[in-house]
Amino acid sequence: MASRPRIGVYICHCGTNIAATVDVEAVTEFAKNLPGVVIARHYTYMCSEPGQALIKEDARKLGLNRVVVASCSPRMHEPTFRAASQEGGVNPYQFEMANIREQCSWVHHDRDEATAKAKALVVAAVAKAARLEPLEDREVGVTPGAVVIGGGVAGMVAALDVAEAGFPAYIVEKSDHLGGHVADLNRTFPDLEPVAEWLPGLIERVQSHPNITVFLNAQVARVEGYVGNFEVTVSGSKVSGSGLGEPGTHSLQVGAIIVATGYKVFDPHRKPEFGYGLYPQVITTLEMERRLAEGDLAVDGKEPEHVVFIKCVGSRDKQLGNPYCSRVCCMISAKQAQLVRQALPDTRVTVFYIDVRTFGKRGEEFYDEARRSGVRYRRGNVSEIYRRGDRVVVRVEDTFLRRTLEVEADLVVLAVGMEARQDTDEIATLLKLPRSADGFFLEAHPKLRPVDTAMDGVFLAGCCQGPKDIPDTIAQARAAAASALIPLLRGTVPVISETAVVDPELCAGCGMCVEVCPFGAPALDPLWGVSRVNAVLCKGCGACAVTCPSKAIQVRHFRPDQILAQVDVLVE
Amino acid sequence: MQARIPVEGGDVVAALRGFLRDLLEKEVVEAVVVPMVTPSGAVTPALVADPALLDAADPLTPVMGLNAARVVGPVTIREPRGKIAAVLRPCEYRALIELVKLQQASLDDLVTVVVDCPGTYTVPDYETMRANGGVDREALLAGARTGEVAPQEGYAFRDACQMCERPHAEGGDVQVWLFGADLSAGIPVSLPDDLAEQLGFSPAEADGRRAEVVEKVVSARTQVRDERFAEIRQRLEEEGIEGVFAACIRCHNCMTNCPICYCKTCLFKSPIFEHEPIQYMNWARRKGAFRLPADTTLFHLTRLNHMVLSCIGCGVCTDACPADLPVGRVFRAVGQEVQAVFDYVPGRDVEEPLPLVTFKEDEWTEVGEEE
Amino acid sequence: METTEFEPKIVAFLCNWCTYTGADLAGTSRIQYPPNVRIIRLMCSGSVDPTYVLKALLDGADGVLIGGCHPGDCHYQSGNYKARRRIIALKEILKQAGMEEDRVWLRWISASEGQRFADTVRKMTEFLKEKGPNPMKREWAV
Ligand SMILES: Cc1cc2nc3c(=O)[nH]c(=O)nc-3n(C[C@H](O)[C@H](O)[C@H](O)COP(=O)(O)OP(=O)(O)OC[C@H]3O[C@@H](n4cnc5c(N)ncnc54)[C@H](O)[C@@H]3O)c2cc1C
Ligand code: SF4
Ligand code: SF4
Ligand code: SF4
Ligand code: SF4
Ligand code: SF4
Ligand code: SF4
Ligand code: FES
Repeated sequence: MASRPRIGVYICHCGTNIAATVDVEAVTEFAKNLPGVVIARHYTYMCSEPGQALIKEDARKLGLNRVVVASCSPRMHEPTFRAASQEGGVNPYQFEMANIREQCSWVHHDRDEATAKAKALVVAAVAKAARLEPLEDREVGVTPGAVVIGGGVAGMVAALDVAEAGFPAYIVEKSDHLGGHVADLNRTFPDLEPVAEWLPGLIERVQSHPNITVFLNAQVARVEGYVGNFEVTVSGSKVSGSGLGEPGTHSLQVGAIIVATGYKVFDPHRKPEFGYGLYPQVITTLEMERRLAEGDLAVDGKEPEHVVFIKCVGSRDKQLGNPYCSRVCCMISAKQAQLVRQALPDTRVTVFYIDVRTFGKRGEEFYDEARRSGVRYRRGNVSEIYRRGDRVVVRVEDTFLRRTLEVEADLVVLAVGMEARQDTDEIATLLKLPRSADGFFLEAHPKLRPVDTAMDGVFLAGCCQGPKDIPDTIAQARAAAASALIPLLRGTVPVISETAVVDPELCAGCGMCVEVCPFGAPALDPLWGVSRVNAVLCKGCGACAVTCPSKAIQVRHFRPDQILAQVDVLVE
Repeated sequence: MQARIPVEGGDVVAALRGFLRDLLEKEVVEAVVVPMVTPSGAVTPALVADPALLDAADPLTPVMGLNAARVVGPVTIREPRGKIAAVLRPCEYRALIELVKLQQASLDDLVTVVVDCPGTYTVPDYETMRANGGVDREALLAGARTGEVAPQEGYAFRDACQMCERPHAEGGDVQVWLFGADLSAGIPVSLPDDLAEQLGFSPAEADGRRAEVVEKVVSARTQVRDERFAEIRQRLEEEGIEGVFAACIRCHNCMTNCPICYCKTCLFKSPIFEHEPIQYMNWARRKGAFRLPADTTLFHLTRLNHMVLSCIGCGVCTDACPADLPVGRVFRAVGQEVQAVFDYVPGRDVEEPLPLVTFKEDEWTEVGEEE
Repeated sequence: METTEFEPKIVAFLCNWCTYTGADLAGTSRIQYPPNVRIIRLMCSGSVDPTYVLKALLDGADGVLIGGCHPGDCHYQSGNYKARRRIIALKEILKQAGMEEDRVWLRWISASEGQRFADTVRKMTEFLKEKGPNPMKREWAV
C-alpha cells in the first residue's frame, strides 16, 4: 500500500513562458506548506539536464517517494520526468504533473489570477500524488507467427512478407482456392497484363513456402487472447504436400492477426430498373471479365453491334446506402471497353458516366488510351433499361444537354461497385473490430494509422478496409505485414500499467463491468463468481469502474479516492 | 392456461397451502420460498422442503418487512441446487427481475408464483394487530374482490402500498389472481400448460371482473401516489434533498433493506469515504461548520444515482428508516422521471437491459453540443 | 464594485485524448479564456463518475464541465456514448432532487478544437456569473 508521502514539488519557469505570467516563487512558497511536501523548488527549465538533476538529487538526498512537476502538459514531458524520478529512486508512477503552462500561463494574462490558478493546480497534483501507488512497467512475451484471414492477393502478399521475415504465417481462406476476386479476372489495368501470367506464380510461391500453412474451405471460429498472444481456432481443411486434408478444427497460437477478407461486388438485383437477371443482355463487369477471358462476347450467338458500359452501379448512391466511390470501376470500365474494341473493332462501345475518376499512376493515360481506341464516353445518368426485340434500350438523362435519350444496345455491362461482405459482421464480432459507416472495417486513424485497428495486434489489408485496386491492395498488405512484424520481431509488447483491478472481497459478481468493457478485459470467474481483469486486455478507460457501484473494480492511478481528493482541493 | 385452485370450506389460505404442497409432492419443485408463521407467531420467509411444514405457510399474510427478492437471490444464484418455487408479491417479483439482471438471482429452475397484493402492513403494525386480536384477512380478500380495499380500522397500509400502482400479478410463471375473484369458486390462477398438466389442473374460466377491479384499485392508488409525489416534489424543490434528509442519522438501513442495493459492501462504508481527521477540520473551516457524519447528502444522491433506475417502489426503505424519513417517496418520485427518460420500467422484462450498461450511437445527438 | 464580482469556480473533468488535448491546444494557440476552470484529467469521459460531479457540487463548485471526444471518436470506442446516458440520468436526478442541474455541462470537444474549449469555458463562466453562486457553498448541513 501507499507509503507515507514525502513529496518534492518542482515549479518550472519554462523560460518566461510560465514565469512571465505566474509568480513561480509565490507558488513555490505556497507548495512548501502543503501536506506531505518535503521540498519545493522552482527552476528555469525543469526538463533540461540540470532541471532533471534537481529531482534526482533531491529524491536521493531527501528520500522522496513522490514527485510533482508543475510545468507544461503531461502529454509533453510526463515521460521525461517519470524517467528522472525513476533515476532518483522514485517509482515513475508516483509522479504527477500540474499543467500550469498550456492550461494556465498561456491562456490567462492577469498575474494574480494565473498565480492563484497555478496554486490550485499544484494542490490538486500534490493531493493526487500523495495517494499514488507504485506500479511497474509491464511487457508481455509474443508468440511468433501471424494468422491471415482471407487468401486473396492482400492475404497472400501479407503472408509472404511475414513468412519471409522468418515467422509462421497461416492463411485462412473461406473458399476452395486462393486468389480471391483476382482469380476471376482476365487482364488487369493499367498494363493489361493477363492475370494468368502472374497470379498462378504468386499462389505457387505461397503454397510452397515452408513458413506458410494454408487452410481452405476454412473459417475462423473463435479468437481469444490479445496482442502478442492470440489463440485462433480455425475450422477447415489444411493444405499439405499431398493435397487438401480432411476438414477439422485447428488451434493456432500467434502474436498478430491480419484481416484480408476483401469485398463483394454490388448485387445489381438491388437496382431492378436495370433489368439485371431479367435480360441476358445485362451483365456485370465481373461476368465480363470471364467473357473477355474466354473471348466470348456474343449475345444469343451474335456479335454485339453496340456495347454499353454503365458506371457507378451501386456506388455513389445515397439511396442504396452506398455514398462512397468504389475507386476501381472507372478503370475497370476503361479496361474492358478497350478490350472489347480490340477484340471486335467494328463494335461500337459507349461508356455512360457521372464523372470519370481515373486517378492513380497511369490512370489518366489509360483513360486517354481507351478513348483513342474508339470508346465513346458520354455523361449521363441511366434511369432504366428495358427490352426492345432482341436488344435492350438504355434510357439516359443526359446531364450535359439536359434531355433524355434512349440508346439501343446488344450488351450492357454494369460497372458494379465494391461493398463490405455480408459476413464482415462475424469477423467484426470475433475480433471486436469497429466498422465505418460504409460497412468496411475501420482503421485506427484515417490518416496516421491506416492499417491498424482499434484492437492492438490486429491489422487490415486490402479491400476489407475499403475499395482499392490491386497496387493499393498490395501496398496496404505489405504495410499490414510490416506492422504485424513489429511485435513479432521485438518479442515483447508493452502494456499500460494503469489498468483496472478487482477487489474480490467487494465484488458482488453483477457482471456490469464485463458488460461495459469495450475490450473484454474483465470476466466473471465461474468458480468464485467475482470479476477478474485480464490486465493485458485492459486499456484503462475506466468504464468498468464507473459502472461498479461499490467500486470493487478501480483503475490504478485513477482511483476514486485520488480523483475525489483532487475535486475537494480544487473546490476549496 | 387459466385454472382454479379448489377452495374448501372457504379456507383460501389452506387452498394455497395445498397448491404449494402439490408442487412439492408432485415433485415439480424440491422446495418453496414462502412466508411462514414462526412458532412465536411472527412472519418470515423460509425455504420449505418438507411438505408437512407447509401448514405454517401463509402466503397471504399482509405484512412486509423485507422484500423477498433479497432472500430468493442467495438461494438461486448458483448451481447446484434443486428446483425451487418462490411465492412473491408483485413488487418482490419486479425486484427479483432487476436482481436477475444484476446477476444476483437466477430464474433458472425457479417457478415464480406471483400473487395479487391488496396491500401490506409494516412489521410493527402487524405485531400490534396480532397482539390485539389478529388480522382480518376475510375483509382484505373481500376488498380484493370488489376493489374497495381498505386497511383494518385504526391502521394504514404501508406507505408504498397506499400508492402502489402495480399491485396485480404481472409476469411470473404462475399468477394468483385475487382481484375481482369469487374465491368460493376456487382461486383463479394462470399457469403454464405443462405445469397445469403435472398438477392435474383442468382449464377453468377466471372471473371476468379482474381487469375492472385492478383498474379500480390502481386508479385509486395512483391518485394517492400523485398527491404524494406532488408533495415530496414540492419539498425537494423548497428544502432541497439535503433538507428532506436533514434528520438522517446515516444508519444505512434504507440501503441495507433495499432489494436493489446489492453491493457486498456499500461504497459509503468503504475506505473511500473514511477521511483523515485533518480533512474534517479543513471542511469545517471552509464552510464554518460541517455536518457529521460526513457525506450524508452525497450518500443519498449517489444511492439515487446507483439504483433509482431499478427502484421498483417496494418502500421497504421507508419502513426501515428509524428517522421516519420519506425515503421511498423520494426514490419513487425521482425514479418515475429518470426511468421515463430511458423509457425503462424496472422489473418488466429480464431481457430489457439496464439503461446504463447499454447505449445507442444515434440517441440524444443534441447533447454535448451547444445549448 | 468590479473587484468583488462573483467569480465562479468550475471543475472540469476532461478526457485525455480529446478535450484535455483541446485545452492544451488552446494553450499552444494562446487563446485566452477566463481562469475560472480547474481541470482534472481522466482517460475518457466514460470514466467520469457521477459521484465526482455530486461531490464537487456539494463541496460548493459553481459548475462542473465534463468534456469528451465527439460521438464516434472516443479513444475507447464507446466511452462517450455511455457517459452521455450517465450524465443525462445524473442531470435528471439533480433536477428531481431540487438541485441545479444546469450547473453541469457535458460538451464534446476534440483535440483540434482549442477555440471551442476556450469558448465553452467563457460561456460557462458567463452563464454561472449570471446565475450566481452555488448555494451549497454556504450550506454546512449537507
Ligand atoms: C470486375 C473487377 C475487375 C477488376 N479489375 C482490376 C484490375 O484490372 N486491376 C486492379 O488493380 N484491380 C482490379 N480489380 C480490383 C481487385 O479485385 C481488388 O483490388 C482485389 O481483389 C483486392 O484483393 P483482396 O485480397 O483485398 O480481396 P479479395 O480479392 O476479395 O479476396 C478476399 C479473400 O478473402 C476470402 N475471405 C473473405 N471472407 C473470409 C472469411 N471470413 N474467412 C476466410 N476467408 C475469407 C475470400 O474468399 C477471398 O479469397 C477488379 C475488381 C473487379 C470487381
Ligand atoms: S461491476 Fe463491480 S461488483 Fe459487478 S462484477 Fe464488476 S467488479 Fe464486481
Ligand atoms: S478500464 Fe476499460 S479496458 Fe480496462 S477493464 Fe475497465 S472497461 Fe475494460
Ligand atoms: S408495494 Fe404493492 S405489491 Fe408491494 S406489498 Fe405493497 S401493494 Fe403489495
Ligand atoms: S429504494 Fe426503496 S422503494 Fe426503491 S427498491 Fe429500494 S427499498 Fe424499494
Ligand atoms: S448505495 Fe450504491 S454502493 Fe451502496 S449498496 Fe446501494 S448500489 Fe451499492
Ligand atoms: S434509513 Fe433513514 S436514517 Fe437511516 S440512512 Fe436511510 S434515510 Fe438515513
Ligand atoms: S477517450 Fe475521449 S471520450 Fe472516451
